Amino acid sequence: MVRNIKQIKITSLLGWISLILLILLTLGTLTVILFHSHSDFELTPTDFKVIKFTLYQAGISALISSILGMFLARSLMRQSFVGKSVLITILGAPFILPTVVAILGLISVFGRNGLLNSILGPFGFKTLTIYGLHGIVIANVFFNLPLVSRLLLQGWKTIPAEQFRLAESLCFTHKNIFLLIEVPMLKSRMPGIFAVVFLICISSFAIALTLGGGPKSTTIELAIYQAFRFDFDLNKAANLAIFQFILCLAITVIVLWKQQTELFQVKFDRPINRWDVDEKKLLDWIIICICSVFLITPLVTIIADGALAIHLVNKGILVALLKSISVATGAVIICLFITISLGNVIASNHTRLGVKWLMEGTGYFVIATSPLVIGTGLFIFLYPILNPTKFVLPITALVNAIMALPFSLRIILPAMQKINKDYGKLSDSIGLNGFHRFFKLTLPRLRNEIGFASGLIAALSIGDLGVVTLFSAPQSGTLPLTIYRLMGSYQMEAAKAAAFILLITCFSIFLLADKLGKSNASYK
Amino acid sequence: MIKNLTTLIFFLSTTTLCFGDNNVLKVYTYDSFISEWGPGPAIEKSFEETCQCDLQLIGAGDGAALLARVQLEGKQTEADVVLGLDTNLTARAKETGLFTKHNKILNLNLPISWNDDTFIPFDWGYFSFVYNSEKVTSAPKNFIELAKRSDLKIVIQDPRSSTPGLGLLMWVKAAYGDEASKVWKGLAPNILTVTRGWSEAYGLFMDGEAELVLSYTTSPAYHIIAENDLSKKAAIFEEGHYMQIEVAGKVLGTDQSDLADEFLEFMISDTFQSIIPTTNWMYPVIDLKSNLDKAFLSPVSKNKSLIFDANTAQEVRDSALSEWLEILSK
Repeated sequence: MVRNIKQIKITSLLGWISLILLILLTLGTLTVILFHSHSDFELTPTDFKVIKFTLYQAGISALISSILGMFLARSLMRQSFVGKSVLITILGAPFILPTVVAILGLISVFGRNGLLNSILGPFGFKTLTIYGLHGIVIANVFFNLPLVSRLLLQGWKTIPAEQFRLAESLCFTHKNIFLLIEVPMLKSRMPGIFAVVFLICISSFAIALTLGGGPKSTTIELAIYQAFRFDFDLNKAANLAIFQFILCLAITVIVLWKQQTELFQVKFDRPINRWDVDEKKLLDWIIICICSVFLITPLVTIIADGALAIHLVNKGILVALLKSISVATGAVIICLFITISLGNVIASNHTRLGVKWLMEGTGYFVIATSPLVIGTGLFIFLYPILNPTKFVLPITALVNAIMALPFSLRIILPAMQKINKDYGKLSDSIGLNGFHRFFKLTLPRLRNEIGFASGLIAALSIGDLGVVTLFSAPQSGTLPLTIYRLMGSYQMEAAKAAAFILLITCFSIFLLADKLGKSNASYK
Repeated sequence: MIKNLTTLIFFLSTTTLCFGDNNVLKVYTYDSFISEWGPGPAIEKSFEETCQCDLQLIGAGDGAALLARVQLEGKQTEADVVLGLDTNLTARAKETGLFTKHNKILNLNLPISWNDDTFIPFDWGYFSFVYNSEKVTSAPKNFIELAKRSDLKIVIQDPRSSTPGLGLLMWVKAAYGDEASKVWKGLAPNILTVTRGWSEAYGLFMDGEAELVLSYTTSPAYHIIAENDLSKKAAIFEEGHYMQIEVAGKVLGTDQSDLADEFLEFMISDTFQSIIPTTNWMYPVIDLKSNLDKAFLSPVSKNKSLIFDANTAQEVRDSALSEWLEILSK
């Protein structure tokens, strides 16, 4: 018993360490920048316009992504067909693309000279343009729809098969199933998912600028970038970052407040057999087809362009790939450690509600911290101690891990909470606690989630340009940085080949991790 | 396994550490300079042949990020030389007090006379709109004509995040002064989109999204020399073309003062300068005579060169930006 208590203490200590690390990297870096700056600063009317626009585009994008994602996940859940799991994995790919590649991919489909216009053109349609608010929304949906549907698919899978069997024997209608079985699950998952997507849409600026068609589509992140780069006004940058922080914090709090944990439902881990698929078949297939075409076509153009230039792949690109993979490995290890440390504390029955909120909230709103702020803050902080350029890759791995945390938390935490709800009281009563409980009870049931999360973290890390640009030394070029360098040296074709390599790598890792997670799962 | 990986990560990140600190010259520069297609590798090799030192070229984003990086590091900076600022940044760079005078008499071949006592140019170019002559048969001859041509879409870069973007702002201002806002109003419908950096814009142009892209008069030279493609041309404007002059300066606190001077001297030598055109795709600052490929003959005559001196550039910058933002945000 004494040993158990000690182990509970250790798990909770790990949770607190992770929390402190997170706070240091977010609020800490901001404080460092504030202390480093001297000027006074007030938000101008232009800044408020920027803030309004940022929220507006993020709101619309998140709403559409969430709704579409819900329908897509539902259709995918109901229909079973050959190659379904492959399709689901492919549909996840847009989320992990580096922005510049994704933008070029989207434009090759929706642009003035794109596929869509060359198909519609001969039929006398006017040239469609992607540049504008709708372009931003299309791009954000392209990025986030895969995330939403993947996260919701996970949600659907946690609904015990027994419920559907019961529903079948009770002759439930579609409406009954939706309201009584699916809505409770959605209610507990949707707010968190919406928030994550909303926060992602807030913090991107290249998409908004390029596809929004100009400076009217300025987001807060671009304003921060401007303050850093154009004006070198650290104070303004930090203040804008704080503003973004507070906004996101408010949103996170509202979401967590509205969110409920799932109800007590023990399941026997049986596969779900849906009897109700035939009636809605057509609708499901229409949804699946439209979403697939929307998500896959830009990928196909990237792959086709890259494959044509594949002979341009050289040692430099492959070395960069290797570096990206080692950074990603580091990021996966750090991120999983933090996620699980936080998760153990959040899911525990012994933790106070306030602490749960604090940990979960911090875990989510790191997405709203500007990587530029984290990077610069770290730089100012580390520079007097050690030369950050010499530790570019470990620093990049750390920051990438932090940036991926909201996603891995979103994937792993609900499952941990559910395991605790379902088995927590039982294990408490038999004294199964601490590490034993984690390794014997929790971990085996988390394999699926850990596999998916690892793949996602690794892929995100490989695709992310990240802070490496701030500290870059010639030898430190990761693959996305190499793509930028190639493009900056007129090597557009080689850049496409590198993007192709990047896409394939992200994708393979994602697939591999997903498979590993599934193959070991003894509970199916 | 984890231990192996950490070792690997550590190894990969510390490969730059394996030098002694004596005779190491650290030059901060922008990222594309050090890429394997850029001038960096060749320059490092040829300087190290003569200097008996280790030249370390360290990348720090693009031009504006480069200065921000040096400002962040402040007096403790490890840089001995900063290479890659342009004349729109030199006034701000001088204000930091981090740079020292070069004390050299320069014999340069620039369209304008060079009087800066701190920074030395290493290459230069004219901003211009580049087009595909197979698609655009008659290129516009000035901004007014461009604005009237509803068939021509242009991609430009955001002045807040990109050096060419800022260059265009200065170009219009230098050519039209107080009338600049009218020109921008006219151009607004032609602007397909504004990108974060040059790469995205040029990528869009190459994919056929826009008829013209803001780039340099030297861009066609790349296509001619590297790809044997004669179709890309720079539209020559009657108003003249704004210049970008890229410069380097010695850091005040350097502990390698002699080596830094040697490097700056090398920078304007034949060796360095003959590497520049076909790697950085800009004009050399000295007369290379027959060593310069014909594709690099300037299409703009000297008296059509536009440029603000560093202080004026600094003064106009903010008002030009707010004017631009206001017009294009509508």
